[in-house]
Amino acid sequence: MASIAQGDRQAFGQLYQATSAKLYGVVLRVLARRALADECLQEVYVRAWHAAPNYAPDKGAVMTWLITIARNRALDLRRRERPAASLDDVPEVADLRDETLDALALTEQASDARRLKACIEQLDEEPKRCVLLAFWQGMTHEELATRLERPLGTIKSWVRRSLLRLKDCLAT
Amino acid sequence: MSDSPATPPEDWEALAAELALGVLSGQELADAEGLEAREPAFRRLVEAWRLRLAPLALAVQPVVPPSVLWSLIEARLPGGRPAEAPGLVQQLTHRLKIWRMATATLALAAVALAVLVAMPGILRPPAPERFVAVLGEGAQSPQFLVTVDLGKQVVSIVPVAQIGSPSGDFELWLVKGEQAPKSLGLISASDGRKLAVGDLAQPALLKGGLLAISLEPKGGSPTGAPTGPVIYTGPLLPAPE
Repeated sequence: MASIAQGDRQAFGQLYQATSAKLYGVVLRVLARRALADECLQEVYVRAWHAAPNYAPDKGAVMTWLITIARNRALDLRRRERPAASLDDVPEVADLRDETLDALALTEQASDARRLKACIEQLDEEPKRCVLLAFWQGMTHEELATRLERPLGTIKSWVRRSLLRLKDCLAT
Repeated sequence: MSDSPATPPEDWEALAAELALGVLSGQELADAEGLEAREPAFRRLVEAWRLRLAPLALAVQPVVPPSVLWSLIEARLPGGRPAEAPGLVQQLTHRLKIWRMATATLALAAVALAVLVAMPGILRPPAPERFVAVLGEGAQSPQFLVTVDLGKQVVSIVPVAQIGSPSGDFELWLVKGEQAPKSLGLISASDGRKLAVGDLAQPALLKGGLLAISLEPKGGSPTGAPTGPVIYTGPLLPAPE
């Protein structure tokens, strides 16, 4: 990252090689459209290039830092570009295998991911599903209420309580 | 509600978590984003939540992005080189190297093949890929040279002598044994023409077959079988490579 911050494009290219497939998977999940995901990924890496001098290891591993940039950008685009589309309407993305928490146990950043996995698994089934759908597919409270066929107020309190429980769990 | 009451700081933690997760929309989202822009303390909470949740993304199945994206990204960096720059050039150079290696291999293979061919009996003759026929009124007066190239899936018809414009259209037929003649299409009396091989692309069908040209009404035979006089014929012969 230090060499990228000093303008080393070759290092940046290597970072892209190492991370782009994961980030593309993330933004494609949220945006559910190839054209939007293509645009989003470009913006993510252009932002990362400019933000590289501000990167500090206390902001997490490089991958984690890139994920936060990618997710922010994808959520912005999703809110703006496809207010009502459903992921199920987009075959190319619906075909993707559903994510499972099990995949977290296999990742390189095993310690963070495993702790998060353990804490999420302690949540009740439906609130857990809300949190995961919101994270992976970028669903809002309203979309979750429609998808799970639950009142909006129920969804909101599930999500809020789950998040606060997560924080407590991770802090212990 | 633009006059929505400000979120009290004791609720900031939950709001920051919701904003980071991405569940907010509409006015709630606008309010939270406003707070994030105004209040450094709230901004830090949001940032902490983003990092806290980020490992969940590691569970997402990777998808390799289109290869052109990297070139587009490079072009958007400051002092950006054009999109055709290094990435693409490197790819092309790499492909060229592969082609060169392939060509060298092919040259070696050609030498080996030449050796084998020079020793009859080692190689069985492959199924013929090309057939030729010379069509005329008997062998003495060739009018058309027809080549059927199964590799290229094309039938080429070349007129080899001047003939007057016919009153109708010339149609080319494949005749094989007792089977009904199959039309290959209309041909021009004066210009070369290429037709698709279509469903005739079988060496077994062509071998021992006969090509014939009949004079049909404008637009070709109305029945799917020759209706006019057959003017030229010629046998199909496997062509040496």
